[in-house]
Amino acid sequence: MTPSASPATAPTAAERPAPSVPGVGRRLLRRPAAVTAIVFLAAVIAAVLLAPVIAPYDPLAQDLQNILAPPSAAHPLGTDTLGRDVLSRLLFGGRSTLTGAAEALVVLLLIGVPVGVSCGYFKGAYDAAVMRVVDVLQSIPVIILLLVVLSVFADSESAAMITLGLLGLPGLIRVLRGNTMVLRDTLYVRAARSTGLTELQLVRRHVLPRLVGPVIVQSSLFASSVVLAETGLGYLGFGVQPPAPSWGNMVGEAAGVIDRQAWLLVPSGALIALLVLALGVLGDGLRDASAEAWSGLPAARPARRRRSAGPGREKAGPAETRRDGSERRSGETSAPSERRAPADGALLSVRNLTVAVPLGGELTTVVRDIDLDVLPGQTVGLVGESGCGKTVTAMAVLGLLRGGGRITAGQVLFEGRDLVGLSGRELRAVRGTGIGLIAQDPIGSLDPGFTIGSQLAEVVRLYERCSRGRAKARAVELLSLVRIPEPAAVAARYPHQVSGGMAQRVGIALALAGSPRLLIADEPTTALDVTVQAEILDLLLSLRDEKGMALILVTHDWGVLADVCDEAVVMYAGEVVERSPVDEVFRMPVHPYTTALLESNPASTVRGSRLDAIGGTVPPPGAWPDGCHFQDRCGLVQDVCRTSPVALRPLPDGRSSRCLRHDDAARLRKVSP
Amino acid sequence: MSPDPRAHGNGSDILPAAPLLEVSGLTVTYPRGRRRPPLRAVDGVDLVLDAGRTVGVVGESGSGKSTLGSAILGLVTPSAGSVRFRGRDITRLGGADRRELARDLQVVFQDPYGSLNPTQTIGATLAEPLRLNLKWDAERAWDRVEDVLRRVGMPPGTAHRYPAQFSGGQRQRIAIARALTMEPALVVCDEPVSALDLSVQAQVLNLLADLQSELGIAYLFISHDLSVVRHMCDDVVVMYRGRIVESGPADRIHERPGHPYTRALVDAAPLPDPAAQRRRRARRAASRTPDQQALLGSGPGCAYAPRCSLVQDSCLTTVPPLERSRDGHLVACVRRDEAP
Repeated sequence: MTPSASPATAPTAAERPAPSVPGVGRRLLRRPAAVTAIVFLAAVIAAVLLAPVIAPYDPLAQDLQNILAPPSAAHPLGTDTLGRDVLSRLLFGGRSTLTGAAEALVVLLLIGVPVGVSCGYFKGAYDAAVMRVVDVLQSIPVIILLLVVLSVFADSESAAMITLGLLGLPGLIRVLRGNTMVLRDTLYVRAARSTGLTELQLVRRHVLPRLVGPVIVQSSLFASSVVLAETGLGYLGFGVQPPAPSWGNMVGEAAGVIDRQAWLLVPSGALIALLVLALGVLGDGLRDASAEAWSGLPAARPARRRRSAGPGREKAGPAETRRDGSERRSGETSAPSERRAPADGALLSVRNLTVAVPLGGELTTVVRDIDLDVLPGQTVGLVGESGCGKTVTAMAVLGLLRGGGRITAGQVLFEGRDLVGLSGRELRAVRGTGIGLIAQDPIGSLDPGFTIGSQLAEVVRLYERCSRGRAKARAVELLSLVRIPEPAAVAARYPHQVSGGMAQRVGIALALAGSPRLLIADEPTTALDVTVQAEILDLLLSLRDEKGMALILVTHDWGVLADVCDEAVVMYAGEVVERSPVDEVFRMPVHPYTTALLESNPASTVRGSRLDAIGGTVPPPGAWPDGCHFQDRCGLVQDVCRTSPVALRPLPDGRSSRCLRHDDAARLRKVSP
Repeated sequence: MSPDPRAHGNGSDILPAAPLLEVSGLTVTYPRGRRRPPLRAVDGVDLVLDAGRTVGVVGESGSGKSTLGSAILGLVTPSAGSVRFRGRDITRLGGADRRELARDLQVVFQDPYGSLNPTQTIGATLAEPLRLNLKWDAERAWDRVEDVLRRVGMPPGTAHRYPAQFSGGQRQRIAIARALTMEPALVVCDEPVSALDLSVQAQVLNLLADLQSELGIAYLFISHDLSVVRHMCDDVVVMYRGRIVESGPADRIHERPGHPYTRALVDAAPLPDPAAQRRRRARRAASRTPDQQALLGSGPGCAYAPRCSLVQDSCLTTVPPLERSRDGHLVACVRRDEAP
């Protein structure tokens, strides 16, 4: 993260906007659709305001010799049933329509925003009382009330519009109230409150800015509906009374003569349709532009796809799919590990696996050149920090890449058969019966709408043809297999009725339903309490021993690795940097990243001593340096590490390391295990 | 850790004998509908924290450790007991008094993604309490913001950017910087590193330790991770279902836990050492009791009894008081001196 403002020019006034972040207006102008809408709306408003100046005729001037004329030089939009110029009537008629929309909007916002926000923020009796009033408002039939108002106030357009504004309140109030209720309980509002801000300051600074989006969307929807309502009233003969023009009564008049001159409906109808469309587009654009500054997403720019990111690139070498691929030659960045045959008798052999995911419109390599072997009954731990590619690797084995990711090179040999390139159907046959998956979020991975038993039974029936009753019995059997006490009772419960540990047992039962030979567990205990974690790990180990399954465990926890794994595969920035038996990795790591990560663990330090933290962060995909990915954070770095990539090489003792100085890596350890 | 733990006092208003923070008998209850009795999320907790020191609060989810922190910060209202800050009762402090107290009492939350307002620049968020609470002028506030951001190791220019432009570890540094802007005497750290990766966690723990020795801040360090707490804290209290089950010096509790729950907690955390972990696993397997239905758990006695391997009849009827064990910590267990 490089600083954008140099310290020398640091402003002395607080809260000056950063130079790199333009205002909402400027950002809005980068959106072509929004610009078109603005130009259109501005033109309409200007023309309507300037009607007395630019209108070619008096809107009331009749020319009975020339009625229902099509467009001509004299009358660009033709004439109506009394021979009046349609263009002039549109220009003058817009005044009442637009003023009406503005009046309704002002009423809506002036009342709706304060009421909606205060209801959501303060809740309690005040909120309950206001919401009852809102309920009543919402139960009033709009048209009937409008007609009553118009008859009482003698066709006063303003009265109708203010009424419309009031009737729009329930929608706005409900939306703002709901949003505010969520916002007032956010962590950052709690944090701001604990710094001593008053409630008013909290609302102004932390709640209102987040409501701008919903308010804009609601306003633009409402403005369009007011224009349409005004049209409807005019069509019915209410509101502005003829001969004075309004868009509504013009549509009404045109509709009456549609069999004689269909054209007459076009100018007013098209204008209204375009206006409604423009309001919607502008609302969307404003909302996106106001969120753009802080959302961290790249600014809207016409996406220009590089040739290198196009389809049909799957067969190209991994290195060329880098974000800045055009400047790099593939030979420099990729150092494929020495080609090794699949290990003898391996259940799973991953070779040179490379996965790319579209990031910011370009296919970016996220893991590269992965080698992995899992023997039957073996537990392999994939360890590393977030962003290192552990989960992507595990999911690639299953063919379950998210976000359009795909395998761009390499093999995934499961029982000797390459899973890369299999059809969806063939892969589904492998998943479940060959390879099972245990997800990280146990409750989130269950459907809240079905009982645990029925979800398990459904999965059972995927793998074996059997009756529903048989599947149910098998589901209960699976639950007792994962040591759930009273499995039949638990089968009848819904996911929200069980604890996190219990839900993870269910998750394991689901993965076991197809009796897989290999289980992939992606951080299976990260969301759990430590005592529950111990139980789940015990369960996984005993299942592995009972069923002879192999296990790939994705984890960031050295303790979990030490507890259950036989082999450690350490990943850093999309690459495997070390493969070692678990006892060896703790005793004598052969990569400086492994050493550094072990040193950062407070569990292995003396109390009060400084932790030996690695400076900096893991470089994200697309920003990997040339040469060794760990070079910028490494204590052993040499010039050669910065210039040429380092391959994962087998060491004489059967381990593998991606470090030129692997013999020195263990020396970096200060604390002996 | 600080050379002189009391050096950071603000002078005259301190009672000489009063600790920085003193919590006694604190109870927080949540209603659970008409039929059931209210949930006692925090139940009669006593705690003392001196200036410049760190007390850890350890427990699993549902232990009430975060609620305890919120009650001290005034974010939830206790139903009984008291919180005293520098001898002054702040239990039910509200309005302007609570806002003024915010100078001395700050918080760092667990989630670095949720604790910063995404629509404000970092500078605006950090300057906020200085401008609005302390009524500083813009220039003075800005200088302080730049100063604290530098102190937590953020690059220049950070203040102009938005939270989305930073990684989790950087955001947690920013959240710490926000807690520091008003130079507090006590920071409640609510799981400050549990959302962070190991190497980033180490950076943040070092930062917290450095800030303590430079500024003499006291921390109430809430965490579920015993190894982090042992590393950071002078003293530890272990909570289970709202009650303190054990308290004492951090390393002693870690090495010789007196309460069966603390022992279970220590034993459950796997060691980053395969050989030692194998021994621990064997020991754990030997001492395991069949899980005695968490359904029994809501009886009048010790909340841990249904899970306890040392349970006896009296545990099911009376709550054991916190009493000194032979190792010198306070343990709420009748069989506290029978540690294997």
